[in-house]
Amino acid sequence: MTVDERFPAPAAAPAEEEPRSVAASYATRFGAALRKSPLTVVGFAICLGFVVLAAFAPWIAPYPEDAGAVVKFQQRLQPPSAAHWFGTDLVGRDVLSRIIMGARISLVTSVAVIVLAVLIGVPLGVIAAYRGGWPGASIMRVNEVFLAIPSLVFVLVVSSLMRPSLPVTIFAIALAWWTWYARLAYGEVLSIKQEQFVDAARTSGASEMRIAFGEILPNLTSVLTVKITLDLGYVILLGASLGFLGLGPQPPVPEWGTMVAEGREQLPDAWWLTTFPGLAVFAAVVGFNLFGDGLNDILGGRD
Amino acid sequence: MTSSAAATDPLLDIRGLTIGFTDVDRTEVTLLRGVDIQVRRGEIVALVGESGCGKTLTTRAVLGLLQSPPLEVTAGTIRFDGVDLLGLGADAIHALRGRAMTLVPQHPLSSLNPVFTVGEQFFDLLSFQGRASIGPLGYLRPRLDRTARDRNRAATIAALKSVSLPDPEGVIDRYPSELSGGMCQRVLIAMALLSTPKLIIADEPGTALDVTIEAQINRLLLAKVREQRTAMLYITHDLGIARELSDRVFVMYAGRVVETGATAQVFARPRHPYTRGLIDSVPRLSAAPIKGIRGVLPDPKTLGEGCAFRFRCDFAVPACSAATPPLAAVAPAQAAACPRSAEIAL
Repeated sequence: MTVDERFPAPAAAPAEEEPRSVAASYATRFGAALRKSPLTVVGFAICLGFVVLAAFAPWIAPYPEDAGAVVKFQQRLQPPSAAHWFGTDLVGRDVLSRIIMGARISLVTSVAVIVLAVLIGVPLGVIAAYRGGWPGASIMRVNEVFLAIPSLVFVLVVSSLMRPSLPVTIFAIALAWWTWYARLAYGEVLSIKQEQFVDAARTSGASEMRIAFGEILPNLTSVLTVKITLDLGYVILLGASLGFLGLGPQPPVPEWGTMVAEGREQLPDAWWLTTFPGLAVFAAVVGFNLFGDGLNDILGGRD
Repeated sequence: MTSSAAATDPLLDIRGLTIGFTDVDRTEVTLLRGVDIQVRRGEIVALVGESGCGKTLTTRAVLGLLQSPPLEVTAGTIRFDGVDLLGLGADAIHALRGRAMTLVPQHPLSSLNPVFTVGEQFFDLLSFQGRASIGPLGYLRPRLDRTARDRNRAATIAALKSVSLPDPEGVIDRYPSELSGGMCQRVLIAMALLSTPKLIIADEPGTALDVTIEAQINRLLLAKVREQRTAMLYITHDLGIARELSDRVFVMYAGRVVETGATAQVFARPRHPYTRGLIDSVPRLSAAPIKGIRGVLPDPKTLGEGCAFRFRCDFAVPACSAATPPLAAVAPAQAAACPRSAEIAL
């Protein structure tokens, strides 16, 4: 028996794969991973719908003017109907329109909070872990002081010290939220900085800054992506809680939490005033959660 | 800094290198106890010894990768190309590292950054090698420059070709996880050779690979080093490889060089019982069961004065515990740290 008989060549040589760009091959892989997990697709669809609603709110909302201080007394407190799918509120404004316009507020809040939190937290965490020593220790001790206070209490205190408005809400939540990013970055960098490629970069003469932010930081992309996606939902929830407690953007701004608070006095008769904004919060949080979990599975599978 | 006299000086000159740390119970632990190693220009030197004898620690000190604290150089000098490395500022070390002195690491798969393609890693090296402070703008500028990108790509493909990587145009856009260990090691060798350094430090470059690939990698490394007339310090615990590759060999035991000399001479006539034990421990297909060396490496905390090998040595005499034997010439171009070296060379 010759070697050729024992190891027969494959019948046909596999066709040479078409050269594709790296980005295209990753897009294909992402698509394939999405197809395997229907829940991720649901989450992705909700997130996408939410973003589209927020972006095109004035064109999608049937009565966009109802977002402001409009009064239409002749149609106040109407139950859901063909003209007003989610009913109307105390002064006759369309609840559906206000929810759609409110998506903008929620999205702006949560994106702004996350951007601030990432910009503050991640560099601090990277420096604390990479530099170590007393600068690292002091950053992390300050971080722990912030973490020790429950975030809702912290945000309540900060926002009650100022006049409630959208920027104040964003500022207050970001001040509580950066700690999580600092901690996440800290933990990741602590382990990544032990990797061999960090030594390899150092022997090639890279400066400490370049190693920390050029070599190590890009390794955090996947964990940060997952964390950001999950957090977009949680920040919407926290923003709505703040609005519900009267410390968020003030009426007539169509903030979902504020709307629930306004409608609370009309329960149980005008149930639609609280139910639909509440469902909007619920859908947004669940959507970002499902999408974030799915992303975690997809990206986590890489290492 | 190269004076006319420097041409005859060793390229890398490690003298009396002593490294230790203070343990939690405040005892001083000495890990390297006066290491002397010289590498001449264009010479291939092997550093052999058991795991834990201080080979890697020595190279980390040379490369400036010591974890300090806790580790500290308490005595000795490291001169590279006439420059005292230990007294050098951070910027000067950066300029030296990665240009004049490069590393071929031990674990090829984990020594490449997993989130960048091979091409991107070469790009950084080609753009910034040996330059410490470039600032955020300096980091971005070559990326935005089309001619720089094209030039770097061409240089990368040439470098990948020079280490016989199949399909360099394909490899350049791959991530390290898409390459095999042998391919990664070829990429790393290409990186180490990129700046035509004066010294390459190879830290057991084949240990993480299987034997056939290891042989290929060593052959490649040897060919490239000879071609570029680069000096190489090759760290290994494999005597066979040391014998095959090197011009000279240093044998380390428990933080000291116990024997050194021209490779052929040391292997033919070892003059230190440890070297002899190591040679006898090499498995041979035909021979009887290997002898090995009894016992294990001593704990550096309880070592005390005297020869560190005396606990495992068949030749030990009371004098061995009295004082640490110095490295003394036993033949032309051969030195051993053993008072009974004359009896060992049978």
